[in-house]
Amino acid sequence: MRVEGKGLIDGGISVPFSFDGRRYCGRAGDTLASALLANDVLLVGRSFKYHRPRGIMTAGAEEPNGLVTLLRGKGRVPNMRATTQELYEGLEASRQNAWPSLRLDLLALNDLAAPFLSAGFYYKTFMWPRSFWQRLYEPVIRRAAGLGALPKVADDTVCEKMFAHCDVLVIGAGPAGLMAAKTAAQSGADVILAESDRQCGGRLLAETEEVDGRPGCDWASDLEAELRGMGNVRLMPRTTVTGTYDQGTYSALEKVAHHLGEIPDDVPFERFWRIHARQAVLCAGALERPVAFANNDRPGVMMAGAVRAYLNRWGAVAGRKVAVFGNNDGAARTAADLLAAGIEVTALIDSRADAAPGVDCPTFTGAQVCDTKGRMGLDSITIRTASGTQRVEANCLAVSGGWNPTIHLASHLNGRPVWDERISAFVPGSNPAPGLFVAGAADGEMTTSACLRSGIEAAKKALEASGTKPVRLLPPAAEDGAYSVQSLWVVDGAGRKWLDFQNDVTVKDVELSARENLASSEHMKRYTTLGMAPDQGKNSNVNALAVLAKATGRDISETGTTTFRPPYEPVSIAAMGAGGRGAGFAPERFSTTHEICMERGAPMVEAGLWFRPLFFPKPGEKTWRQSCDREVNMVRQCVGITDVSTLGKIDVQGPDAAAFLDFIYANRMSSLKVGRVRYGLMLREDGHVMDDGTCARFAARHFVITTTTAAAAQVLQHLEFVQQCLCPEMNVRFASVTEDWAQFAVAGPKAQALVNQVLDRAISSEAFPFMACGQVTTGAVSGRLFRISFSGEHAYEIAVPARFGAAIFQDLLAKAEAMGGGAYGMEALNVLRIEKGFLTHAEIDGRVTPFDLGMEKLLTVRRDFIGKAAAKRPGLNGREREQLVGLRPVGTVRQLTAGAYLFAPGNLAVAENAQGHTTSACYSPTLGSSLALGFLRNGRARQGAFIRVVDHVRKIETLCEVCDPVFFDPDGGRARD
Amino acid sequence: MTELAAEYPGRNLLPREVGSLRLSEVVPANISLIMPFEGAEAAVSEILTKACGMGFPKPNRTSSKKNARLVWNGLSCALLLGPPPDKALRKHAAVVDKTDGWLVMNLTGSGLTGVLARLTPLDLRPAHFRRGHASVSLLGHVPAVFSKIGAETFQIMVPRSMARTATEDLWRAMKSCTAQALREQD
Repeated sequence: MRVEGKGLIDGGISVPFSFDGRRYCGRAGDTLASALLANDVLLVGRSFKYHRPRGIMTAGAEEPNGLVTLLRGKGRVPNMRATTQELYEGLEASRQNAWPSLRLDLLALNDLAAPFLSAGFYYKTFMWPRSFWQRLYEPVIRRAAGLGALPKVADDTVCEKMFAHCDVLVIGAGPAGLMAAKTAAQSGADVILAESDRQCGGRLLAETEEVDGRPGCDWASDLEAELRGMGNVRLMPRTTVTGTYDQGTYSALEKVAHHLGEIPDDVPFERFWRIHARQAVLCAGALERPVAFANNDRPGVMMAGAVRAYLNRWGAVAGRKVAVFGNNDGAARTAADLLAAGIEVTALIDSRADAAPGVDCPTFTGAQVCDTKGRMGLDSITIRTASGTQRVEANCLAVSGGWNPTIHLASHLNGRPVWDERISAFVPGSNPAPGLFVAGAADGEMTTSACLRSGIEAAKKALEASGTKPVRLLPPAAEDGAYSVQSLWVVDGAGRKWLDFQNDVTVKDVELSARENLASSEHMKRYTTLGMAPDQGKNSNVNALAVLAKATGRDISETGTTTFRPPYEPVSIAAMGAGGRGAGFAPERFSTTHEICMERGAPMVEAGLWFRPLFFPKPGEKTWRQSCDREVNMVRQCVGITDVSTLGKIDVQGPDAAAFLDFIYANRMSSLKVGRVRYGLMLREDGHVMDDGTCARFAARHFVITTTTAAAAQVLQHLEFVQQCLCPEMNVRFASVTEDWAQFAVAGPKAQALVNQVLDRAISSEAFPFMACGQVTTGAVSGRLFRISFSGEHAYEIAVPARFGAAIFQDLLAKAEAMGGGAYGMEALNVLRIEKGFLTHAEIDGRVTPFDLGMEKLLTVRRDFIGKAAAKRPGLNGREREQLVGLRPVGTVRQLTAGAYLFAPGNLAVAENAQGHTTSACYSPTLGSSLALGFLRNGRARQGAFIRVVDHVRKIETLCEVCDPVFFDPDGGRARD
Repeated sequence: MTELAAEYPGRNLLPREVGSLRLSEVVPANISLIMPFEGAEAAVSEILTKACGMGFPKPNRTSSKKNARLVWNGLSCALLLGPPPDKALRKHAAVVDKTDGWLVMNLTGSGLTGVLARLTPLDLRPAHFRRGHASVSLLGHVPAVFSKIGAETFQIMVPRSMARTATEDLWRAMKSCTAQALREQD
């Protein structure tokens, strides 16, 4: 119900919204939770396992029960906390985890089966019959599990990532944080003040206390305005710092547009921050903890601090008759605030026998609440005193079991918190994280005055740690009463006493865990699932540890806490991965001929971030095979042009360039003549093949080497490592020039004729034999020419500076087409090289050695090179190795695929009998047959033998003959003529 | 004889403008990567000083004189933008022509640090990244060279093949930054 005359929000502006299909009105400044309470909506959800009716319990992000699904545009956002969701006009929220309705939820039958569904039930039951687990039990349990449901349409929410740097990061803008920020800012530091709420003030917004002689909320807003006006302060409201990482790095989630019904263009929904701070001050306050008594989860049972917040900040209260129960002075304060607002307080129950609350309402000291009653909401509570029990009417029960300092961020880097018996809570240990200082309630300071002082002190320490002289600040006057708490974890009695409201874990479950010897806090957590729900144990961890400690005969500090890990609050993956969706996942690399390929209708494929054309369809061609076969024939019979710019090109220079390449490659490069190219094999340290490519020599101390497209960066990294770590004495420098040159293969019997049409000076086979290279000019542009071939035809690669790439490609194509040739793509390129037994990373997959490839003779004996010693080891050579072979079908089935396994005829096609696999396959129009390359145990000695090629995934089996991998033109004469 | 037309990397992508922010292409006549051989950095520095009035740049620094700019580009590595590299350099350094390998852009306007804060982890606070400072870092997922060449101007170099990804990421950041500035004014 709304309490007129109370609250900090503007009563004038009415905000319509809907929840669970019903329309309501709230006020500007309401959260969804405060608006629902103001509208007497208590029942907001059903619990996870037992589907018990649940209501709002807190006023913050730690809320365990008030999880709703927000409907936004086409999509929906599940698991939004009503307590932090700012109300906007037209907000539509729906319930979660209840069907067909909140009031009548069929799965509430689970509650009746509770004795069978206690912690760890799935380890003990649903085991028979065995086959039912996978087919029936698991799918049913899985369907019943979970809280919110994901939308069925792809999420198109736009989020953003951002970086920030500062001298001092202040986390939390309550009294401690505001003073810390003021101290740091006035001392001249660059300050970031991050606050989860939309405005500064923290608890001052929820209490009726004074700071500096005026209402705390006014003091806070004045100081906020002052900080906002300072040029060296960045205020970040609606921003929760979610994690502490190495070297002063903090993550934070900013809810940029959660409070907007319509998101303006170019404004993200959320923003994920990485903040680098030289020092940080943690002022994250404390969270109130419940008390475990029977049926303490009924809608209407709320935290006392939250009851005060709803009353004082939002002018709302959960019911007309409120009872208050606690083990500290917060109980009396709650009762006093309610009475002052004209709300009936039906009972004030203080568990401390020596308490003297002095509030004008029925008071019970040394007493406890031991049960509650009510169907969909609280009707009455049962109080136990020394003389017996009695029932008292109440539709809201405000509970306070004490406060837990919010120490999480101080514990993310393995800082272990310590138990402080004085306040019956965990506080940060002596070593929270490098550069992180803790202040205020987060550090166990429980009065406003102490918080203000400690904020100044912590900022002072932070500034001194970075060599900045702090200004002297005096804290303003504020409340300074003693915080006296007497721990009360569990109230004895029959009935289930809830600890984790989100995962439905009770005191009995934790005791069960201890009995089953899962007695460490880490085991108890996983066995009971306590603390593993979206509230991450904020409402349950400490209480559960107390129960576990008692059950195992230890004290709380011995029992210890579980490990704290980021994020402090759930963070959407869309925010962490902002900018990385779809094409944003990685850079897209386009060659200079991309537009021309698109104009010609070539479908493109991504390889190593580059986009390459698969084939160039001609009118009338309906399948890719038609285009591919035509292009293969075109290259073998006439001439074809393809863009090979994407292959890695590395420029190597220096007095020791040749010696360096001798060390990198398995075969000698120092003997390569100027103006010549050589095929090179690069090994890893472990003797396996890393990459193959070409090495061209342009001068005594100048080489250009090539790598396969997708391995270019890795090879360059390898060269850097070798030069810096293995041969730092070598005087050599290298750089990637992949981007700088547009390079095109011109291949086929008419290649030389075509090339001579574009060069300014014609070449001959004598002057430019196979494997020659040199500088050339075309259209007065300086370029390079290489006579190398990946197709096995007479071929060249012509390279020009990238700015001329498109132009020369157009020119080559026009001239080729005039001769009856044209462009060819990756499909044809692949067929051509398979026909010739040439290798790609389909064969060089990281598991093959030079011996496997039949290239052991390439390895020079003369000097050392990377991988030499390992390549000689017995296990990497010999009959047992799977060696490169060619395969041709000989039976009725002609289809071959890559990734099939090889079996001797007569053997069962099972893993134990596999003798190898296929790596590449194609249909060869040149030979009129399917072909495959693969690796077969002792393959080179088995040429002519038959082998079964079995593709278990595609269900294809082909009988093949083992042959030489060079199917076509085995002498290689076509390339050399 | 064939006549080849040149195409520049920023073609069809730049310039772009929103609010006071402007992203435009710059096309230096030459870009050379200069990597001094062992022990030759002093000699290289001398040649550069004679040729264009500036020595080999220190780490994370860039300098310019007339139409020449030198930018530090990594361990013992610098880029020379503008004039062709002096022939005498080749005796003491590996010199690699990189004219065609880069898209070079100038980002200008107030609030440009907000744009770049969306894309790079560099500390761009004016007191820390001053005019004449340079760094090699990431622009989104794209490797980039950042040089602060004016009070409100950054020069950003990215690999030519990633021009589209880089300009689209910058454009999105420019729009977001401008939208945020407008909302903060309200």
